[in-house]
Amino acid sequence: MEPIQRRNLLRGGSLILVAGMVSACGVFGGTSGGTDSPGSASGSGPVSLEFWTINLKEGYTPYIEGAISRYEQDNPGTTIKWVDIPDFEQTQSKLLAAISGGATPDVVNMTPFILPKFAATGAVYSLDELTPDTASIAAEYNPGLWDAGVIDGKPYAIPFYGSVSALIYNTELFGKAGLDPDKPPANWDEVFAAAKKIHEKTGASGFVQTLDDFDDAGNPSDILAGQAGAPLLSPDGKKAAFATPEAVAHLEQYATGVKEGWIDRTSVNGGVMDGAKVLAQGKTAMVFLGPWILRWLEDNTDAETFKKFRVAVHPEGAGGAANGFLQHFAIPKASKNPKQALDFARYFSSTVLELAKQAPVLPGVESIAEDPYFQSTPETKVIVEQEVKFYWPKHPAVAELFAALRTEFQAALLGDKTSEAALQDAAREWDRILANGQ
Amino acid sequence: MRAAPRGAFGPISRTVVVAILGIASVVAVGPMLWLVSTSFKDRGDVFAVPPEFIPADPTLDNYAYVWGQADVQQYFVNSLLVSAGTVLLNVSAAALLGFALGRFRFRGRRLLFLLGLSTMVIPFPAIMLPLFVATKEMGLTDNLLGIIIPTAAINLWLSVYILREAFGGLPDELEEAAVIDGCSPARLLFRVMLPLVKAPLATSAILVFTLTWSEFLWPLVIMRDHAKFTISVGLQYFMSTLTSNWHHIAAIAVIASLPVVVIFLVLQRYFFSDVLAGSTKG
Amino acid sequence: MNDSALETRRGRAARRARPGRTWRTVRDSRWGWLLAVPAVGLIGGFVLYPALNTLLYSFTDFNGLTPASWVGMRQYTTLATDPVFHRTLLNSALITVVVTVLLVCLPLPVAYWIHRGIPFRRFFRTVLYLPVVVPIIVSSVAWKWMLDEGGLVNHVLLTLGIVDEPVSWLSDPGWAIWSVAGVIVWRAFGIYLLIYLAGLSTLPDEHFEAAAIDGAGHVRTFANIVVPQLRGSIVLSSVIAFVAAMRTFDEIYVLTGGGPVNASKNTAYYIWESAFSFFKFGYGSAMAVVLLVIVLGLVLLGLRLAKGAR
Repeated sequence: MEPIQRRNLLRGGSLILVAGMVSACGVFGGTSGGTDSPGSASGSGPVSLEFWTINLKEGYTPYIEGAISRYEQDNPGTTIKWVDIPDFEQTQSKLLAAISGGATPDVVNMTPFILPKFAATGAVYSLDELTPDTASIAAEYNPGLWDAGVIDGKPYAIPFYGSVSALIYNTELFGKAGLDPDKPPANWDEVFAAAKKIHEKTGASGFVQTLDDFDDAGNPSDILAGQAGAPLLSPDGKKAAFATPEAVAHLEQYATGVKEGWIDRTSVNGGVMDGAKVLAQGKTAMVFLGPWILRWLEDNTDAETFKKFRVAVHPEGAGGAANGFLQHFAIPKASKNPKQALDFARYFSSTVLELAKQAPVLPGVESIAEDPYFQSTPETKVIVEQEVKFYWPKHPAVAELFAALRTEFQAALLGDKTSEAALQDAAREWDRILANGQ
Repeated sequence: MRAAPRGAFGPISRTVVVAILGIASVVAVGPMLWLVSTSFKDRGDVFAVPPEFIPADPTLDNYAYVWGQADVQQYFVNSLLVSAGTVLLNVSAAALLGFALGRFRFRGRRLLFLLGLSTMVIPFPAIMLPLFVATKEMGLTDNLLGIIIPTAAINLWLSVYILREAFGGLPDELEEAAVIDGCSPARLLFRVMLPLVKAPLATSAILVFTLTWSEFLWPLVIMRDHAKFTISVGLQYFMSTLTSNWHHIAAIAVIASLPVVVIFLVLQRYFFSDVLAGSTKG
Repeated sequence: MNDSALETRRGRAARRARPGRTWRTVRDSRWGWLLAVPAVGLIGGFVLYPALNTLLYSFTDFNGLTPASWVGMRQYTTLATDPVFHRTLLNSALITVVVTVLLVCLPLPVAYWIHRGIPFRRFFRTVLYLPVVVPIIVSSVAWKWMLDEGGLVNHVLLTLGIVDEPVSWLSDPGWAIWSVAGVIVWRAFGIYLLIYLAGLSTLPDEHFEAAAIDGAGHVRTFANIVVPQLRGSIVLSSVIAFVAAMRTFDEIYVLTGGGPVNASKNTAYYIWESAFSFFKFGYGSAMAVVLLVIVLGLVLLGLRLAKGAR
């Protein structure tokens, strides 16, 4: 199947008229390089960079604007135009539209969820193309976070900040259930046992682990790979490998928990914030979220309630550490000044301490994690002391893979299917998607 | 000539009907009252179980905070401009075409109507990407017209349909008299008929205003400059994962809804006035 | 003039056959098209032109990022065997039928009551319209919270003893789609009430007075006068409700994300998901084309039936 060239389309028989109309406006064929930001030949003269972040405007504007103006001062002739997109889910729509229209930003905040597709289609630069020595750049960053942006051996992104789930729990409910608030569960058997006890003694659910959200699509992969220790993909990356007996047994626990009420039902179709809300309302005792959620809890509960919440390390699973999440910066191919863009991306990553002081997140730059600030409180300690792992496949169709997994998880949790059937169906769906080679 | 003679209902049916409408009203405004009540709550009271209907300790802090975010005022103004512009463009274009479709028999009119109708059933996501490219080609990104023109177009057939029915339903005698007087179609439209379709015009206007005011996907995709965002986009800054503080969301929601309430209250007399009564005065 | 203004459609239609001097009988293409120019420009440039691209995409594997390859009918053959697509068509149909029927029927008696001067009518009229004015994204999120297991709705129902245990409005696949439909009806009710009230306000009081003299009760007045006289408004409501319900996206986006297990995913949402989440623009476009063909067929059929019924 050869790519359609505009000329071929025009010759295309009965579709001549339609194709003519369409190609006249250059809709067809995706990346029609940008024509705006005139007069900014790379290297010399004034440079204008467009910089996209996700959901940082509300609450973090002074930080972003301050960091940008410092960069502009240090680099005379460079101006940064900052655009903040309100929601993770819409970043992709906006970016796709911008790329089709040839109006891309120069530096864009991405997630491991969308990067693989953009990398696979050549819509973003591999950093190798922009700098001779990526190895020395890589050395500056947290290895786990850096690795999340390496696809087929090539680095595509500069880590901004990451987040590893911790255990956040309600000490009051622990106390009422006769559990020791100073000894939170350390592995999943203990989590399930504690959850049952809490439900039995207090009527509240033991924990919530939400599935239905774009933002925390890491949860299904964490349940399989982190908690049950099942690899998501076969070693060659061509087949699903998660339908192991351990994974089935583990998912079975979840299904039982939802049925019996010791796992909160919000897990089935709630998102991150629905889980946080249930915790804030005292209806569940544990959530597994990044410590940044504390900022939200503090903003949304009274001081008395907030005191009940405590942070501990994430319970250890069969696969080791919990699945992480991160934000990183990529440079779209349509950028006129990709080298300057890379420079700015690296600069911006280096300012993350200021952000971390407002919302506890893990810095992409390794040396920043050594700042004494991270030793100051339990929630910041948890961030730097936990290992970061990314289990999800760095595959272009990762969003589709996870949608399939989520659907089957929901079916299992609702009792529509046995856990075994759900995982097998999910594996079949993964094999089909992987075979399509998107 | 207001309709509705008093006492059309007996005491029993009146009580039953008022009870039914009362319950319906509670369902209708319940969520809004909840929002209003939340907007006056202190941060810690939002999650109280059982829910508090009247805040124990009402505060205006949320409004102060939300309105104090400099951009919110800008979003608000943008939304007003965008919604008003969209209504103006949409209703004027639709009035002309509705008049043509309702009063003229011209070649291709059926085809035109069907094509237009088909535009009403295309799901927006299906055309969003090519629409972006088209709008970009016209240089309308970062320009409020980039929201106004496509939104007016997407909802155009709604108004055309309403106005075609309205113009088509006017008595032929009006037109015959106009023809005898040697009146041009333009004169007939503007002088004679337009005043008679005030109610349908107002219906289209409020429908389109409401739809535009609520639109959140397109303005986000097409605008790059924060200063050009509308309130439905700006709202999402407060509703997103990291920031969904309900007492703030509720306050901005109330702010975002107020103008539409006011516009409805102002326009509503047009819906309920007797249109034809007006026509017979002249 | 006064009498003729009050004539029914049927009377006018009969008279239209008589030779009269109106533009309806003169085939005047010039004026018709001249008046159509702004609307045709808008629709053509901003809806039909993009839609034409969508049609073209449906024969390709366009992913939004790289030049597309022609794949002929492949997207359509895949659709034919995609169980999720079939499910979304069914869900679209369910939502559309329920929402359309409720939105066309429920506001009718309410409009009648208000028009006939029930006490507090101005209050009811305003209050029932209020849900329309709250931005959809806000009201949907508010409903998401209220429909939660421990939310306000369950709290009220439990307190009143209507249910014994909390209903999982959004997480039970059996309920999710009806919750979505319910929120749509809640929000849009006022629009249809408005259409009917506008329609009723053009009806002369004589009809009601005559009915009262005949000794007709409310039920008979409603059935024999209001419903037939409002036929135009009812058709209008049906068309608007139908196309709006078919396009439902925002409520699903906020309330359920199409879940659980695709239970509330309609075709419009699936198109969005395929294109903008999964980068499958070719596939999403093919769905849009199929949906358009189905819906347009139904609308034409409906209009023909409505015309036939006249």
